[in-house]
Amino acid sequence: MKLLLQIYPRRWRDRYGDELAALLEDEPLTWRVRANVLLAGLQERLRSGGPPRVLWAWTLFVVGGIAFQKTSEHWQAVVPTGDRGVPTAAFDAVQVAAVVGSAAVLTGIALALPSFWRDLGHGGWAALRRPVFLALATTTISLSALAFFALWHSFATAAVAVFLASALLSLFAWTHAAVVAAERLAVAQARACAYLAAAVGATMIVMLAAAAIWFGSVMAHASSFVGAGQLAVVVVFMVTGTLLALPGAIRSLRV
Amino acid sequence: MNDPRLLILTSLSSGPKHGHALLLDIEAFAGVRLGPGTLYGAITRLEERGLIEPIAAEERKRPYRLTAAGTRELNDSLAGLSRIIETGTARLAGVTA
Repeated sequence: MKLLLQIYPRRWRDRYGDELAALLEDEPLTWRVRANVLLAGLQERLRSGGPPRVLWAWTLFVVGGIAFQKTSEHWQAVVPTGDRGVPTAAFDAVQVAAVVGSAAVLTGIALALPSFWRDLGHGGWAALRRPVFLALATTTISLSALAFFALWHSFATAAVAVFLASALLSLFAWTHAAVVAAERLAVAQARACAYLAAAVGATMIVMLAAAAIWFGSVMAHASSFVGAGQLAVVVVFMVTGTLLALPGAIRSLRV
Repeated sequence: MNDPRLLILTSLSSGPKHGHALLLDIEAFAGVRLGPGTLYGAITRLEERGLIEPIAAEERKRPYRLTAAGTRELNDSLAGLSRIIETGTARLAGVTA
């Protein structure tokens, strides 16, 4: 049952967790009840939003952004010089928005650091230990795969797959650790962090729109330049990141 | 008629209740068995809107009661429902007459 309650955001559990646990002790714990609690917990998590969730959104967007960067390499080769105005402007817009968004995320982290250091000594480390160890483990696997490439100059499919999977998991694990830490903090500059979260959401919208314009204008000249798989990765991660950020960003302005 | 928030407000109109008592009361007067997650989701929203408030906990079970705003909300909701019921009943009577 404790595991079931973990689906709820920490702040919600602090307020209602004991009451819900007491209620569940009085109820037969059927699959219907479990599913009901699970769905309700997910809804609370979606509602909780705010700056911590924007971290998740940003991470997903970064994955989409890396895929976009890789996809767009050498695009000038397929677009005639005279038609490069629109894709160039769109590509520049993506890059500028990426810099602004990254700066907003880093500023938010910097603002949270003093509270984070204080929290480490007040139960913060106990909550963070598992997520941090998990992140360290996935990072170690990822670095080992990288060392394998460097030492043996071998890019076997299995090694590449292990590297990509562990790098992705490592990114997600560190994000999870950061969100766990952020959810514990009552950052003194909560208002500033809320505006930064909203700014991050806004940069995602700009990047998404600019990337769509770029894809449209490049593929108009060379429809096969972008593979379906690459396009799917970019779209899925960028759109998911943006959708995840928007409610959080809007909600964070109500802090 | 199975809006969890309205059911909770209606249940609390007869006095403070904790989660399990709310579930039993709602099942008794409305024939609806709310899931625990649904119940606490609705309690969260109602408390956020200031329509209900917690009172001193009995161990881990915390009873809730209606606030003045909650009583007004319940009155307005029931008045709205009454109008719908009257209209629907009158129109049905016209159809069957």
